[in-house]
Amino acid sequence: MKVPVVENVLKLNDEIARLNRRAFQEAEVFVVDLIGSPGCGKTALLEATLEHLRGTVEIGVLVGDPATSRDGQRLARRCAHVVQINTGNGCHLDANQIRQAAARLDLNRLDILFIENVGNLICPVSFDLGQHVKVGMFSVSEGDDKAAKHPHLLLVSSLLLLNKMDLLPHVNFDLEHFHQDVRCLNAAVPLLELSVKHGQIEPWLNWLTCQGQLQQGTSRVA
Amino acid sequence: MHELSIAEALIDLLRRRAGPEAKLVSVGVRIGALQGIDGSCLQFAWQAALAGTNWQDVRLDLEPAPWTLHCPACGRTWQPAAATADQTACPCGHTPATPAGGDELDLLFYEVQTPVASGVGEDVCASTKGDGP
Ligand SMILES: Nc1nc2c(ncn2[C@@H]2O[C@H](COP(=O)(O)OP(=O)(O)OP(=O)(O)O)[C@@H](O)[C@H]2O)c(=O)[nH]1
Ligand SMILES: [Mg+2]
Ligand SMILES: [Zn+2]
Ligand SMILES: [Zn+2]
Repeated sequence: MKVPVVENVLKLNDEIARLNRRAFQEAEVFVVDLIGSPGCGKTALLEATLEHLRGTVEIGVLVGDPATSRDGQRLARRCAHVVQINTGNGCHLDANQIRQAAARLDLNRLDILFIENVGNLICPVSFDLGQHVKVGMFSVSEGDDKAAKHPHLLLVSSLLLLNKMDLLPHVNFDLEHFHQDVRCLNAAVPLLELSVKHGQIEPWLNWLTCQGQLQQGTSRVA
Repeated sequence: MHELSIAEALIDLLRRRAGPEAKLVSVGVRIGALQGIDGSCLQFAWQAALAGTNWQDVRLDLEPAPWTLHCPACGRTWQPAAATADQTACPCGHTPATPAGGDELDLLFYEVQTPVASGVGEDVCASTKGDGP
Protein backbone atom coordinates (compact mmCIF):
# COMPACT_ATOMS: atom_id res chain seq x y z
CA MET A 1 0.00 0.00 0.00
CA LYS A 2 1.51 3.31 -1.10
CA VAL A 3 1.04 6.32 1.13
CA PRO A 4 1.52 9.59 -0.76
CA VAL A 5 3.32 12.31 1.18
CA VAL A 6 5.08 15.02 -0.86
CA GLU A 7 7.01 16.75 1.87
CA ASN A 8 10.44 18.33 1.77
CA VAL A 9 13.07 15.94 3.10
CA LEU A 10 14.67 18.81 4.99
CA LYS A 11 11.38 19.78 6.63
CA LEU A 12 12.79 19.29 10.14
CA ASN A 13 15.77 21.47 9.32
CA ASP A 14 13.46 24.11 7.89
CA GLU A 15 11.31 24.08 11.01
CA ILE A 16 14.31 24.80 13.21
CA ALA A 17 15.48 27.43 10.72
CA ARG A 18 12.13 29.15 11.16
CA LEU A 19 12.69 29.28 14.94
CA ASN A 20 16.17 30.70 14.36
CA ARG A 21 14.77 33.32 12.02
CA ARG A 22 12.23 34.40 14.59
CA ALA A 23 14.92 34.64 17.30
CA PHE A 24 17.14 36.70 14.98
CA GLN A 25 14.27 39.02 14.11
CA GLU A 26 13.31 39.52 17.74
CA ALA A 27 16.90 40.37 18.64
CA GLU A 28 17.09 42.66 15.57
CA VAL A 29 20.30 41.09 14.38
CA PHE A 30 21.10 40.88 10.67
CA VAL A 31 22.33 37.39 9.81
CA VAL A 32 24.58 36.57 6.85
CA ASP A 33 25.36 32.99 5.78
CA LEU A 34 28.72 33.13 3.98
CA ILE A 35 29.20 30.26 1.54
CA GLY A 36 32.36 29.63 -0.48
CA SER A 37 34.87 26.97 -1.40
CA PRO A 38 37.72 26.04 0.97
CA GLY A 39 40.30 28.79 1.09
CA CYS A 40 38.43 31.43 -0.94
CA GLY A 41 39.03 33.89 1.92
CA LYS A 42 35.92 33.72 4.09
CA THR A 43 37.74 34.02 7.41
CA ALA A 44 40.11 36.65 6.00
CA LEU A 45 37.10 38.71 4.87
CA LEU A 46 35.50 38.47 8.29
CA GLU A 47 38.77 39.42 10.00
CA ALA A 48 39.06 42.51 7.80
CA THR A 49 35.38 43.35 8.32
CA LEU A 50 35.75 43.14 12.10
CA GLU A 51 38.77 45.40 11.87
CA HIS A 52 36.92 48.02 9.82
CA LEU A 53 33.69 48.04 11.76
CA ARG A 54 35.26 47.96 15.22
CA GLY A 55 33.45 50.35 17.52
CA THR A 56 30.63 51.09 15.07
CA VAL A 57 28.57 47.90 15.11
CA GLU A 58 28.56 44.87 17.38
CA ILE A 59 29.39 41.71 15.45
CA GLY A 60 29.10 38.02 16.28
CA VAL A 61 30.48 35.10 14.28
CA LEU A 62 29.52 31.44 14.14
CA VAL A 63 32.20 29.60 12.23
CA GLY A 64 31.86 26.08 10.90
CA ASP A 65 34.78 23.81 10.02
CA PRO A 66 35.06 20.02 9.82
CA ALA A 67 37.83 20.12 12.42
CA THR A 68 40.07 22.49 14.45
CA SER A 69 39.21 25.81 16.05
CA ARG A 70 41.82 27.69 14.04
CA ASP A 71 39.37 29.99 12.28
CA GLY A 72 37.55 30.55 15.57
CA GLN A 73 40.83 31.55 17.20
CA ARG A 74 41.72 33.91 14.33
CA LEU A 75 38.36 35.63 14.65
CA ALA A 76 38.39 35.70 18.45
CA ARG A 77 41.42 37.98 18.31
CA ARG A 78 39.17 40.64 16.82
CA CYS A 79 35.77 39.74 18.20
CA ALA A 80 34.39 38.82 21.62
CA HIS A 81 31.38 36.90 20.27
CA VAL A 82 32.75 33.93 18.36
CA VAL A 83 31.52 30.35 18.47
CA GLN A 84 33.41 27.64 16.60
CA ILE A 85 31.29 24.76 15.33
CA ASN A 86 33.06 21.54 14.39
CA THR A 87 31.00 19.45 12.00
CA GLY A 88 33.17 16.31 12.06
CA ASN A 89 32.15 14.46 8.92
CA GLY A 90 29.53 17.04 8.06
CA CYS A 91 30.17 19.12 4.96
CA HIS A 92 27.69 21.89 5.80
CA LEU A 93 26.03 23.61 8.74
CA ASP A 94 22.42 22.81 9.60
CA ALA A 95 19.79 24.84 11.42
CA ASN A 96 20.12 22.86 14.62
CA GLN A 97 23.86 23.50 14.88
CA ILE A 98 23.14 27.20 14.42
CA ARG A 99 20.42 27.12 17.05
CA GLN A 100 22.76 25.56 19.60
CA ALA A 101 25.70 27.81 18.77
CA ALA A 102 23.59 30.99 18.72
CA ALA A 103 22.30 30.12 22.19
CA ARG A 104 25.83 30.71 23.46
CA LEU A 105 25.74 34.33 22.31
CA ASP A 106 23.73 37.26 23.63
CA LEU A 107 21.92 38.01 20.37
CA ASN A 108 20.34 41.14 21.79
CA ARG A 109 23.76 42.78 21.97
CA LEU A 110 24.55 42.08 18.32
CA ASP A 111 23.83 44.08 15.18
CA ILE A 112 25.26 41.60 12.69
CA LEU A 113 25.81 37.86 12.99
CA PHE A 114 28.05 36.22 10.38
CA ILE A 115 27.85 32.51 9.80
CA GLU A 116 30.97 31.22 8.05
CA ASN A 117 29.75 28.01 6.50
CA VAL A 118 31.93 24.96 5.88
CA GLY A 119 34.05 25.46 2.74
CA ASN A 120 31.77 23.88 0.13
CA LEU A 121 29.72 25.29 -2.76
CA ILE A 122 27.09 22.55 -2.88
CA CYS A 123 25.08 21.47 0.13
CA PRO A 124 25.24 24.62 2.32
CA VAL A 125 22.91 26.03 -0.34
CA SER A 126 20.17 23.51 0.52
CA PHE A 127 20.16 24.08 4.26
CA ASP A 128 18.18 27.05 5.51
CA LEU A 129 19.80 28.28 8.74
CA GLY A 130 17.36 31.09 9.46
CA GLN A 131 19.71 33.67 7.91
CA HIS A 132 18.47 36.84 6.24
CA VAL A 133 20.77 36.43 3.25
CA LYS A 134 23.08 33.88 1.76
CA VAL A 135 26.26 35.32 0.25
CA GLY A 136 28.22 33.28 -2.29
CA MET A 137 31.98 33.82 -2.34
CA PHE A 138 34.44 32.84 -5.09
CA SER A 139 38.09 33.64 -5.68
CA VAL A 140 39.93 34.01 -8.97
CA SER A 141 42.41 31.25 -8.14
CA GLU A 142 39.60 28.66 -8.29
CA GLY A 143 39.00 29.17 -12.00
CA ASP A 144 36.38 31.15 -13.91
CA ASP A 145 33.99 28.22 -14.36
CA LYS A 146 32.92 27.93 -10.72
CA ALA A 147 29.83 30.14 -11.01
CA ALA A 148 28.51 28.15 -13.98
CA LYS A 149 29.17 24.86 -12.21
CA HIS A 150 27.18 25.82 -9.13
CA PRO A 151 23.88 27.20 -10.42
CA HIS A 152 21.97 26.56 -7.20
CA LEU A 153 24.30 28.82 -5.20
CA LEU A 154 23.97 31.52 -7.86
CA LEU A 155 20.19 31.32 -7.71
CA VAL A 156 19.82 31.62 -3.94
CA SER A 157 22.55 34.18 -3.23
CA SER A 158 21.59 37.75 -2.41
CA LEU A 159 25.16 38.84 -3.08
CA LEU A 160 28.20 37.38 -4.81
CA LEU A 161 31.80 38.15 -3.96
CA LEU A 162 34.82 37.53 -6.14
CA ASN A 163 37.98 37.63 -4.03
CA LYS A 164 41.75 37.60 -4.66
CA MET A 165 41.48 40.11 -7.50
CA ASP A 166 45.18 40.87 -6.86
CA LEU A 167 45.99 37.41 -8.30
CA LEU A 168 44.21 38.10 -11.59
CA PRO A 169 47.45 38.74 -13.55
CA HIS A 170 48.88 35.44 -12.37
CA VAL A 171 46.02 33.05 -13.04
CA ASN A 172 43.96 32.01 -16.04
CA PHE A 173 40.72 33.70 -15.14
CA ASP A 174 38.51 35.26 -17.79
CA LEU A 175 36.69 37.94 -15.85
CA GLU A 176 34.26 38.69 -18.67
CA HIS A 177 33.37 35.02 -19.00
CA PHE A 178 32.74 34.77 -15.26
CA HIS A 179 30.46 37.83 -15.32
CA GLN A 180 28.59 36.41 -18.30
CA ASP A 181 27.99 33.10 -16.52
CA VAL A 182 26.73 34.92 -13.44
CA ARG A 183 24.32 37.03 -15.50
CA CYS A 184 22.95 33.96 -17.30
CA LEU A 185 21.88 32.53 -13.99
CA ASN A 186 20.97 35.57 -11.97
CA ALA A 187 20.48 38.90 -13.70
CA ALA A 188 19.90 40.90 -10.55
CA VAL A 189 22.44 39.70 -7.98
CA PRO A 190 25.19 42.23 -7.18
CA LEU A 191 28.71 40.95 -7.82
CA LEU A 192 31.51 42.66 -5.91
CA GLU A 193 35.21 42.26 -6.64
CA LEU A 194 37.49 42.27 -3.61
CA SER A 195 41.07 41.83 -2.64
CA VAL A 196 40.83 41.06 1.02
CA LYS A 197 44.57 40.63 1.33
CA HIS A 198 45.11 44.23 0.30
CA GLY A 199 42.25 45.59 2.34
CA GLN A 200 40.11 46.26 -0.73
CA ILE A 201 36.70 45.50 0.71
CA GLU A 202 34.88 48.85 0.50
CA PRO A 203 32.08 47.65 -1.81
CA TRP A 204 31.33 44.86 0.66
CA LEU A 205 31.32 47.24 3.63
CA ASN A 206 28.96 49.57 1.75
CA TRP A 207 26.62 46.73 0.87
CA LEU A 208 26.66 45.57 4.49
CA THR A 209 25.84 49.02 5.79
CA CYS A 210 22.93 49.36 3.36
CA GLN A 211 21.57 45.93 4.23
CA GLY A 212 21.83 46.57 7.95
CA GLN A 213 19.89 49.80 7.57
CA LEU A 214 17.26 48.22 5.33
CA GLN A 215 16.85 45.39 7.78
CA GLN A 216 16.43 47.70 10.75
CA GLY A 217 13.94 49.74 8.73
CA THR A 218 11.80 46.73 7.94
CA SER A 219 11.90 45.26 11.43
CA ARG A 220 10.77 48.59 12.85
CA VAL A 221 7.87 48.74 10.43
CA ALA A 222 6.86 45.11 11.09
CA MET B 1 28.81 13.08 3.40
CA HIS B 2 26.13 15.38 2.10
CA GLU B 3 24.16 12.35 0.97
CA LEU B 4 24.47 10.81 4.42
CA SER B 5 22.85 13.80 6.07
CA ILE B 6 20.10 13.74 3.45
CA ALA B 7 19.54 10.04 4.15
CA GLU B 8 19.40 10.74 7.89
CA ALA B 9 16.94 13.60 7.40
CA LEU B 10 14.81 11.32 5.26
CA ILE B 11 14.81 8.59 7.91
CA ASP B 12 13.85 11.13 10.59
CA LEU B 13 10.98 12.31 8.46
CA LEU B 14 9.79 8.74 7.81
CA ARG B 15 9.93 7.87 11.50
CA ARG B 16 7.59 10.78 12.09
CA ARG B 17 5.25 10.19 9.18
CA ALA B 18 5.07 6.39 9.10
CA GLY B 19 6.07 5.59 12.69
CA PRO B 20 9.32 3.86 13.70
CA GLU B 21 7.74 0.38 13.61
CA ALA B 22 6.07 0.73 10.20
CA LYS B 23 6.71 -2.24 7.91
CA LEU B 24 8.13 -0.24 5.03
CA VAL B 25 8.75 -1.79 1.64
CA SER B 26 9.90 1.20 -0.36
CA VAL B 27 10.26 4.95 -0.21
CA GLY B 28 10.02 7.41 -3.09
CA VAL B 29 12.04 10.61 -3.25
CA ARG B 30 12.23 13.31 -5.92
CA ILE B 31 15.62 14.97 -6.33
CA GLY B 32 16.09 18.13 -8.34
CA ALA B 33 19.22 18.44 -10.45
CA LEU B 34 20.21 21.65 -8.65
CA GLN B 35 20.51 19.85 -5.31
CA GLY B 36 23.87 18.39 -6.23
CA ILE B 37 22.91 14.99 -4.87
CA ASP B 38 24.45 11.92 -6.47
CA GLY B 39 21.92 9.10 -6.75
CA SER B 40 24.31 6.22 -6.12
CA CYS B 41 25.89 8.04 -3.16
CA LEU B 42 22.45 8.52 -1.68
CA GLN B 43 21.62 4.83 -2.18
CA PHE B 44 24.86 3.93 -0.44
CA ALA B 45 24.19 6.36 2.42
CA TRP B 46 20.64 5.03 2.77
CA GLN B 47 21.90 1.47 3.14
CA ALA B 48 24.66 2.51 5.54
CA ALA B 49 22.25 4.47 7.73
CA LEU B 50 19.72 1.63 7.93
CA ALA B 51 22.05 -1.37 8.22
CA GLY B 52 21.04 -3.54 11.17
CA THR B 53 17.69 -1.78 11.72
CA ASN B 54 14.15 -2.92 11.01
CA TRP B 55 14.26 -0.88 7.79
CA GLN B 56 17.46 -2.32 6.37
CA ASP B 57 15.72 -3.90 3.36
CA VAL B 58 13.60 -0.89 2.48
CA ARG B 59 14.07 0.11 -1.17
CA LEU B 60 14.79 3.71 -2.06
CA ASP B 61 13.21 4.81 -5.35
CA LEU B 62 14.76 7.99 -6.69
CA GLU B 63 12.97 10.16 -9.20
CA PRO B 64 15.24 12.76 -10.76
CA ALA B 65 13.73 16.15 -11.55
CA PRO B 66 15.57 18.11 -14.26
CA TRP B 67 16.60 21.68 -13.93
CA THR B 68 13.86 23.70 -15.61
CA LEU B 69 13.78 27.30 -16.79
CA HIS B 70 10.86 29.44 -17.80
CA CYS B 71 10.92 32.56 -19.92
CA PRO B 72 8.47 35.11 -18.56
CA ALA B 73 8.50 37.02 -21.86
CA CYS B 74 7.49 34.30 -24.35
CA GLY B 75 6.30 31.54 -22.04
CA ARG B 76 8.83 28.97 -23.25
CA THR B 77 9.86 26.31 -20.71
CA TRP B 78 12.96 24.18 -21.21
CA GLN B 79 15.51 22.04 -19.44
CA PRO B 80 19.11 23.18 -19.84
CA ALA B 81 21.86 20.63 -19.44
CA ALA B 82 24.39 23.19 -18.29
CA ALA B 83 24.60 26.66 -16.84
CA THR B 84 26.08 28.20 -19.96
CA ALA B 85 24.80 31.26 -21.79
CA ASP B 86 23.63 29.29 -24.83
CA GLN B 87 21.47 27.07 -22.63
CA THR B 88 20.09 29.47 -20.05
CA ALA B 89 19.16 32.31 -22.42
CA CYS B 90 15.84 32.21 -24.25
CA PRO B 91 16.04 32.50 -28.06
CA CYS B 92 13.40 35.27 -27.86
CA GLY B 93 16.16 37.49 -26.51
CA HIS B 94 14.75 37.94 -23.05
CA THR B 95 17.44 36.90 -20.57
CA PRO B 96 17.68 35.43 -18.15
CA ALA B 97 14.87 33.02 -17.63
CA THR B 98 13.53 32.27 -14.17
CA PRO B 99 14.04 28.88 -12.53
CA ALA B 100 10.87 26.78 -12.62
CA GLY B 101 12.07 23.50 -11.15
CA GLY B 102 15.12 21.49 -10.26
CA ASP B 103 15.51 22.44 -6.60
CA GLU B 104 13.13 19.74 -5.34
CA LEU B 105 14.10 17.44 -2.50
CA ASP B 106 10.82 15.80 -1.62
CA LEU B 107 9.62 12.62 0.00
CA LEU B 108 6.92 11.52 -2.47
CA PHE B 109 5.51 8.38 -0.88
CA TYR B 110 6.26 5.43 1.33
CA GLU B 111 4.98 1.95 0.70
CA VAL B 112 3.98 -0.29 3.61
CA GLN B 113 3.40 -4.04 3.61
CA THR B 114 -0.26 -4.75 2.98
CA PRO B 115 -1.54 -6.46 6.16
CA VAL B 116 -2.47 -10.12 5.55
CA ALA B 117 -6.10 -11.02 6.25
CA SER B 118 -5.37 -13.73 8.87
CA GLY B 119 -4.47 -11.02 11.37
CA VAL B 120 -2.43 -13.17 13.76
CA GLY B 121 0.47 -11.93 15.84
CA GLU B 122 1.07 -8.53 14.26
CA ASP B 123 1.72 -6.77 17.55
CA VAL B 124 3.77 -9.57 19.08
CA CYS B 125 6.16 -9.56 16.13
CA ALA B 126 6.63 -5.81 16.23
CA SER B 127 7.43 -5.73 19.93
CA THR B 128 10.10 -8.43 19.76
CA LYS B 129 12.12 -6.52 17.19
CA GLY B 130 14.98 -4.61 18.77
CA ASP B 131 16.48 -1.40 17.41
CA GLY B 132 19.98 -2.85 17.39
CA PRO B 133 22.87 -1.55 19.49
N1 LIG C 1 46.30 36.73 -2.73
C1 LIG C 1 45.27 36.77 -1.91
N2 LIG C 1 45.17 35.85 -0.94
C2 LIG C 1 44.10 35.91 -0.12
C3 LIG C 1 43.10 36.90 -0.26
N3 LIG C 1 42.16 36.70 0.68
C4 LIG C 1 42.55 35.62 1.39
N4 LIG C 1 43.72 35.13 0.92
C5 LIG C 1 44.50 33.99 1.40
O1 LIG C 1 43.78 32.79 1.12
C6 LIG C 1 44.08 31.81 2.12
C7 LIG C 1 42.79 31.24 2.69
O2 LIG C 1 42.11 32.25 3.40
P1 LIG C 1 41.02 31.92 4.53
O3 LIG C 1 40.46 33.21 4.99
O4 LIG C 1 41.57 31.00 5.54
O5 LIG C 1 39.96 31.12 3.64
P2 LIG C 1 38.60 30.42 4.10
O6 LIG C 1 37.65 30.60 2.98
O7 LIG C 1 38.18 30.91 5.43
O8 LIG C 1 39.06 28.90 4.19
P3 LIG C 1 38.31 27.67 4.95
O9 LIG C 1 37.69 28.19 6.19
O10 LIG C 1 39.39 26.69 5.19
O11 LIG C 1 37.31 27.16 3.96
C8 LIG C 1 44.92 32.51 3.17
O12 LIG C 1 46.27 32.17 2.96
C9 LIG C 1 44.66 33.97 2.91
O13 LIG C 1 45.74 34.79 3.27
C10 LIG C 1 43.26 37.88 -1.30
O14 LIG C 1 42.45 38.79 -1.49
N5 LIG C 1 44.35 37.74 -2.10
MG1 LIG D 1 37.74 29.89 7.18
ZN1 LIG E 1 26.86 18.79 3.25
ZN1 LIG F 1 11.55 33.78 -24.29
